[in-house]
Amino acid sequence: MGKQIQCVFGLIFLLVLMSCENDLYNDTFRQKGLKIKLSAYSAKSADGLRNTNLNAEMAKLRDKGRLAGRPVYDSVYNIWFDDENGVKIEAGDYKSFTFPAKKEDSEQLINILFKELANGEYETMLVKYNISAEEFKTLPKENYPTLEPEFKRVLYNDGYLTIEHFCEPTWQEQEGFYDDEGSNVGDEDQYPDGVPTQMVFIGLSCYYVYTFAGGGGNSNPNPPDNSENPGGNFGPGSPNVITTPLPEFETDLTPCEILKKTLGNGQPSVRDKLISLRPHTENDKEFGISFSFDGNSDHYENLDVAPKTSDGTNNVSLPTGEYFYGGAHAHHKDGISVPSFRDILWLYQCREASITYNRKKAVLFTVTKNMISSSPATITYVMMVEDYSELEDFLQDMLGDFSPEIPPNDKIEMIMERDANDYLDDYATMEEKFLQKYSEAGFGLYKMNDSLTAAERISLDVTGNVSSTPCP
Amino acid sequence: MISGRMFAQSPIIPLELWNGRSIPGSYVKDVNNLLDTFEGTYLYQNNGVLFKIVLEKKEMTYNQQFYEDVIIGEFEYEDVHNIVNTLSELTYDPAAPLAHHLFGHFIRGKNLYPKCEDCADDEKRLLLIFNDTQVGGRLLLRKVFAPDGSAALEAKRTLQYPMAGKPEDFPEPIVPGGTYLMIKQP
Repeated sequence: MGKQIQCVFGLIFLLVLMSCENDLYNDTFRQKGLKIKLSAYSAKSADGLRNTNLNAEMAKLRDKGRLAGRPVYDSVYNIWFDDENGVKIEAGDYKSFTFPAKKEDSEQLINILFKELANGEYETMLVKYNISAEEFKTLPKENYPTLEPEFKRVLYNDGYLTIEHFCEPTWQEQEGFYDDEGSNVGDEDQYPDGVPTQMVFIGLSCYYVYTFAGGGGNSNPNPPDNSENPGGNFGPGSPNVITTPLPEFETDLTPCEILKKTLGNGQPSVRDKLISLRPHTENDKEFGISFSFDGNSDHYENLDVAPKTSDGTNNVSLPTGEYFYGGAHAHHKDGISVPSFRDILWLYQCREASITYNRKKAVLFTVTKNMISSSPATITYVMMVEDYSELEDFLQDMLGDFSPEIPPNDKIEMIMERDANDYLDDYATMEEKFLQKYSEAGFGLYKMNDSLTAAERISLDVTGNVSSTPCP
Repeated sequence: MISGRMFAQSPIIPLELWNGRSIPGSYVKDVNNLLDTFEGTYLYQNNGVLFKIVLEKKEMTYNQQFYEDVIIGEFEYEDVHNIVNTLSELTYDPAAPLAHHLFGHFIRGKNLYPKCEDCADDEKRLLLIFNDTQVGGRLLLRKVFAPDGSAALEAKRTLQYPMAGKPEDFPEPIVPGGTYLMIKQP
């Protein structure tokens, strides 16, 4: 996606939030050279009545309910949207309209957004935030970056649902407002308490598109009988056009519970995969398996080292991305018998790149040869993110300890070799040394039993010895 | 003088005994001059492939955390696909001591990874970080003799791709992985 479009989408996020505050701006302000024109918009205004394509798109939502009018009820997502208090956004060729919305039985902050397409028609998007509308009213602007907007494209005809998910937005605090000439119009007379600041998106570091196959699913069969009373009484009957439900991963699960879920709650898939890695601990190169979940089912892929360089590398690379929630790999026969710094880095990258419902369960299994005992012959470690910010800070600090002119991959190699210096003179203390280095890095280290039916979190106790806490 | 006062309070750690951990202000020193024995110009030439490295020892470089003795180096590589020559970058900049395509000081004994069955018990190998401008990795150097008796290095090039990634997206290395017998040049 082009940078300009990223900026536009970024600004949309901001404006969506603004619209929820019913705090509309008729100014144009400047943001990194891209002029965005904002204006209040009502479907009932003269301008609104003339926009036949937008009205046709909005009518699709209205038609899903028995009742038209304001607020408009949409039985597809059980959503009302206020079509008289929207924001019109124009930036170059870009144009969209955003309206405050409310979902039945939910306090979640949501908006409806109509984006104009190149052919002049519109597409509808549902924008959800991980915060309630009530909480948002008191959310300081500097905390906007903690919001995780999620876009769903609403399609009516075939029951398909497409998600566009944008992540890691970059915000910048901007003072005042700007007119068409780029002059700041937020003068001191107008704002006796000081020129207000706004949080403005200045870019997005990633962009995901996800399409669910198939249709069907359930919708609420009971639309409201009073569209003026969102969340009020519901009557019988409504069209069913809802698509496959959006998979949501439970966010309140503990790492132990996530691990248990990953291992299949009695289903053998991941356990079998881990067991299949054990013989590879006797090989002279690594072997791995990626875990992905596409919204409908789990997928596993066996991974060898890069084929075109197999004579010169023995480290496997595991893919990351929106669908990938984890991976497993076996260290080769001469490798260290604990996870490596590269493994930690991968866990972070997996967590960073995965889509919302995969993000919480980012996991990396490392199967190693048991260097201090022949029974069991292998050890299976698990790393799971426990504090993403802490992990990110830790890694940045680690890599920041080197001169900036050293390429990142070379820094990683340096850390790996320094660790090797530390580990390889005494296999028996490798686990302890790993924890000394990485026990406060935002992830938890778990060790599986040999049958892979139980795990324990290992850490250093107050005396510096390795201790374990079994997962319940 | 300043350095002398500093190290009166900070430890000097023999390079071959260093456990890899950062001790601010310490000096990881090549007290037994192990690195000196790897200095020089080495050349591999075979089947249309030319691979030359030039290695120099630098003492008491500061890496933002502690001081260390290191080997820095540059390389020249030529085959039917590539011609890369970084030898002109060998000029040493104390402000950026490790800004070289080869650098490091990791001493590997017989049993340290990668293990060396043929090595003598007290033999020391040198592992350097090696970025060939396309792909990073390592160059493990072992002192050997060429068939004609001349001094040489057995240089094992290993490639290190990012842990996260797809092989089809990886760049081709300039210097392929493998083992090169590099003759020491006069």
